[in-house]
Amino acid sequence: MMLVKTVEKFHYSPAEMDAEWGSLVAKDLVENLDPEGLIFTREEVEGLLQETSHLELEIKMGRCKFLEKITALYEQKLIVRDSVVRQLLDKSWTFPEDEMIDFPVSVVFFEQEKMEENYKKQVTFRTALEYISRNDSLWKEPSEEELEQIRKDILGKDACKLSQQLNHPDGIEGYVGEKYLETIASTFDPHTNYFSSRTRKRFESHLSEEAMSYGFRLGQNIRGEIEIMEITPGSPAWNSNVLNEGDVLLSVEVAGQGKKEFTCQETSEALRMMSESFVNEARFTVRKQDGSSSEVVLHKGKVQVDDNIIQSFILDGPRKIGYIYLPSFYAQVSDQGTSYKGCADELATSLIKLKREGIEGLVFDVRGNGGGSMYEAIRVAGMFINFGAVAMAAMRDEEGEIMKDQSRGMIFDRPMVVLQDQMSASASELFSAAIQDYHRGVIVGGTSFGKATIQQIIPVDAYRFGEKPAYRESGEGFVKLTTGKFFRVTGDSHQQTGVIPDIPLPQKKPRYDYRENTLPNSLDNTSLDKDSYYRPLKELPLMALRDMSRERTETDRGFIQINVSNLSKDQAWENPAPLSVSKLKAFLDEIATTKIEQEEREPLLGVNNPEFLNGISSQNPLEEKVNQHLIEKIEEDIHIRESFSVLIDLITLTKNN
Amino acid sequence: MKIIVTLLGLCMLFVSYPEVQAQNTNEALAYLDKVAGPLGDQKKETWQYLKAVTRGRSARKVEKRRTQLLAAMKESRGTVSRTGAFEGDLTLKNAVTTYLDLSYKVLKEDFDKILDMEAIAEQSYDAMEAYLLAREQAGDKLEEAWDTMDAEYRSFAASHNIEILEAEGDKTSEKINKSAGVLKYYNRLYLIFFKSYKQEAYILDAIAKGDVNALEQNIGAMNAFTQEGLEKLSEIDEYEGDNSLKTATDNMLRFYQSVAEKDYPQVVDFYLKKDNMEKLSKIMESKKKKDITQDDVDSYNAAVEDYNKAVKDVNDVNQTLNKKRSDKIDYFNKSIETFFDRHSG
Repeated sequence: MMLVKTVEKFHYSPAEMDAEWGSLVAKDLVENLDPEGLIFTREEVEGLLQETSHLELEIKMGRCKFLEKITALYEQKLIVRDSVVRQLLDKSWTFPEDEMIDFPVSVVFFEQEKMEENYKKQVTFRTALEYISRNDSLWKEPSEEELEQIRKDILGKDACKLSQQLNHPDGIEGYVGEKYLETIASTFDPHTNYFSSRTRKRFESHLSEEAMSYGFRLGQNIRGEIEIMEITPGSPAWNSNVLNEGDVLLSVEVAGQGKKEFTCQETSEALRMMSESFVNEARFTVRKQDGSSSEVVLHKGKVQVDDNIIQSFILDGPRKIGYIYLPSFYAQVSDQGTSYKGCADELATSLIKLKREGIEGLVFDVRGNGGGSMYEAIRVAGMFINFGAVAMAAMRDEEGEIMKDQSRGMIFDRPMVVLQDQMSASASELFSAAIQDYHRGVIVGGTSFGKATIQQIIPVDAYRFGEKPAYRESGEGFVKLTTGKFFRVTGDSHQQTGVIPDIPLPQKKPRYDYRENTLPNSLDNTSLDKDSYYRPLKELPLMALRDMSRERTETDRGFIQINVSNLSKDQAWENPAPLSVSKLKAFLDEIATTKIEQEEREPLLGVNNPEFLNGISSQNPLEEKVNQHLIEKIEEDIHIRESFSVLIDLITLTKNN
Repeated sequence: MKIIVTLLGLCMLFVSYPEVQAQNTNEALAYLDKVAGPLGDQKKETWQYLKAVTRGRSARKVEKRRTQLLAAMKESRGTVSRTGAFEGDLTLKNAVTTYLDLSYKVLKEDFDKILDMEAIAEQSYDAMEAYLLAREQAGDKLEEAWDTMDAEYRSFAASHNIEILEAEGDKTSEKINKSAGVLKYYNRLYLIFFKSYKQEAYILDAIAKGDVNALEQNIGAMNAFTQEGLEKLSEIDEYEGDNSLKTATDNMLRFYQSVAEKDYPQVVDFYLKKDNMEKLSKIMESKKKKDITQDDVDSYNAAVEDYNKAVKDVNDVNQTLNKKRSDKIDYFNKSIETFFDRHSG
């Protein structure tokens, strides 16, 4: 079968396709088809998995016995489930007041007898949750009728989803077949994915032109959800500082039009509503990759306004400090209509202007920056490093290659701090690692994601060719394949481990610990035995900086609150949750960390636009609003504030030596 | 000037060997003469080559002399290798052979055979830098080999009761020694000049490409080099009462310092103003006519004016600089010629 041949030929280190691998494919496929354990019973799953001995042989030979079997069972069970859901529409039930529901981290399948009860519990819980979120601002106890209404809504949505499944345009065979290919691809590593060209085309034709004017491109992910595939630099989505690629749209609300969810048949309605030409503003609810949810209001704008692509500010305090936030290492694009320079060139200009305003140091923020172009990241690192190796890369079967800063000299040679978090990945980590290894700056914040692999998109039948073919249209689909790894100038790798900050700061604990080493099948951490001849600068006084920082964070209200809420979250995630509405509300209130109490804290920072942006920001009153909003957010951000303090300490210590 | 550069670090080649006078004739002395004598045989060719280099002869002539010197070296090495051991001891012979071997390879520029060229390439910013680093390291190795040989020579002499008299040496040796000294001094100064000279080339390249990122970075590097260069220069004395070359080098460095601090930043300014103007243009285009305020128009017009002025300024700067640079380099070259005429034998 083409997919495995191509993966085997070109993947950086393809897994051994043995019996163990075969069992993994089977298990993953079952879980991907039924992630909530509502379709298959435990007995059925066990039965299926027992019959998968030598699935790997079947796959290599292109046979489909297992696929046929699971497809037939899947279709049959969907029908069963469909009738169960419809029956429940006319029923009502209750659970005892202190009944609880579990939140297992991995998929759990139930025995035949327990299936219905499990589903009822789920529906009850979702009902309670929905009621609570609707009445959050003005709380009152629910009536039976209200709850029943919500319950019927939820059941109706589930029924709709099921019937969509059963009437899938490709048929159940097509759907399961595609899931099969997707599953096989992802067993090699979490970043190797299969895309059917059919799925992409069909989805793109639904998207109207106007949707572009929020500045994101949407697509359908493996679970059928609407996901943000790309954010255009400088667009409203970009400037929100809330949205990132990989976020899943949950719902959209337009004043006067109501709220629509991106599920089932509402999806097309939701898309239509947000795209209507008379709609200028919409509130989106998204699910982030770490499981948490966020809300943002976006105003439609001309996507090409790129005066604010690189958000730079001056932080005024004991010293003048520059602050730059880079949401992604985007590369140059010249497409029909849009065109912009790569982020390195854009950054260079911003940095030179900031320098001319006399900043003594720089806070470079890459939180939430999932990566982008490795080439751009190298150029950006080169702006802070004199010359020489910035990173190394190794493709399959090739010796490592040193990737260098092409220009001698630096654009900025003063003290700097890089602020990162768990969602800083790939190209961001390449950048942080270089700064850290050269002792060029201090890395502050959380441990980064831990992805040090390189991916390329090639057609699924690429195995026919000797070398990896360039991108072209393929009727058979594409595979985004992991073809290489990159390494630090020291030869070590941050794969799985991430870049460890010199000064760690308390981070809000996410519901799901989403990082490379929690993803299934992620590649292991290896080193490259090659000398990069890099010449680091003098070591920085990290120990002193750490001590000074700790003194501040241990007594800072904001950080204390994070630690406390993390603790209670710890307890919460371990516990099952209550099903009764009032008990659930109490439970959620306890673990909620919405806004950190401000309580007359004077911002330690004055945040201003750099002078060179004056005259430009005030052009558009809407942008003025966005700009003000950004400034407020920076002023309230305790991690930025602490980075600022660390940088002041660093400047002082450096000057004293 | 290019040719002179090739002799960087090679001054060890031109140190001539002291004559030996012995109290008594014996086998040891004969052996010493046999093994170390050939070193003196190259004297004539060595001088011819040095003369061609320092007297500014044509490239073809220099190359001819180099080939002749290489041939002489080969012959010497042949003679020495045909010598046997002295009372079973090959140490002196090996030391001499090693030295001759190495100096041959170094003059031939067969660096691969004596250095880790990959390491040098990776440590260097570009090919030129790699070449210079290779020459420097080759020179170091040569000096080491010479020291070993010298030590063996003296130890052999001592253990066989041969006294070494550091005699005056003949006229050719004198001339070689003098020229070598001048060359060494010149090399030191030239290297300081060359770093900044090369860096300016990178700046000009960035300007030609319109790459403001590379431009700003290279200006920073230029500032570092001129600073470093001036410091190094202050630690170097005049040459036998002659300050001219030092002054000429200082002159060049100050030129580079001034363009890095004043003129090239103006070019960066130009790019920044261009960027501002382009951004404002885009905004103006994207606004509906009725939304454009008087403020907007004023800001935009100011930016355009700024830009136009910058275009003119930059053109002026480039023109003036080109003339200035060419004049300064001419003067520098002349100073070098004069210096060599005055001091080499």
